[in-house]
Amino acid sequence: METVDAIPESYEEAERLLVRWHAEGGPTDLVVYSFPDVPHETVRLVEVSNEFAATGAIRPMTFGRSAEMPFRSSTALATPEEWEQVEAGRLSLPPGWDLAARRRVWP
Amino acid sequence: MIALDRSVVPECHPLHYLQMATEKMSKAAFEALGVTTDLFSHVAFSHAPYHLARRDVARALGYKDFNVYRDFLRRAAPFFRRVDELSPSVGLQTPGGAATDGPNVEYPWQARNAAGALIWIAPAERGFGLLAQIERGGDAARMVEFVRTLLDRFDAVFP
Repeated sequence: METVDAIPESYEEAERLLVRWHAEGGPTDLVVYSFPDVPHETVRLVEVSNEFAATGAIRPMTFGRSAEMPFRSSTALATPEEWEQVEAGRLSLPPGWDLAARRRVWP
Repeated sequence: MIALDRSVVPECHPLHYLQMATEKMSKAAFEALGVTTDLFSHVAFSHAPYHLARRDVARALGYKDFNVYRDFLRRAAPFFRRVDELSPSVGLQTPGGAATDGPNVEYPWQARNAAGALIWIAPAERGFGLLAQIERGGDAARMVEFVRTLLDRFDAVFP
């Protein structure tokens, strides 16, 4: 069901909205990490669940600004095994995404 | 193209590429599976949730659990259909929304304005809502991931 959301005015609001869009109603084992960027232009998330296909890479899907989301968004899916490899340094994050800066934002 | 702002690249452009790529990909997959299809029809991607709900395809795409893959295809089937409906030769399957005279991502179509006059509407002037739905995540976004992975691994999925 499509709902009407307030258009986010700050980077933090945009992050909260994107997390809600992606996490609510998602897989029960879903874990979401945020990777804030310094200029606060792009909200970046990695979503981890056993329901996702293992692709062997962290491939973000990036969207430009729109009327309802005036910040760029970039999201990637990963399995728990792929995420373990990321944390162990065996699987690369997209360029510019800093593992040390990650924050768990769901649940 | 989706990474550019919508004020720079209207939604119809990436959706046009998505429709064309998924149609060709689906026809190639069906051909590889020996599924008989109408090569001249633009309805193809919406058949993928049925023809590709196979254990070997799920495994080759990286799914650990076939039931999870099959459930995803079942839930996402309406999104697959919406991609096919972007083609002017398919169009919305609603009364009065038949092919070539309704919203599509390629050609202008006629509609009436508030005063009842006939006007032309260009795809770039209209919001289709599908890209926003993909950005919201869920099964619409996973459908695009499914397409990316299937294109990346096509030769391995259909040796």
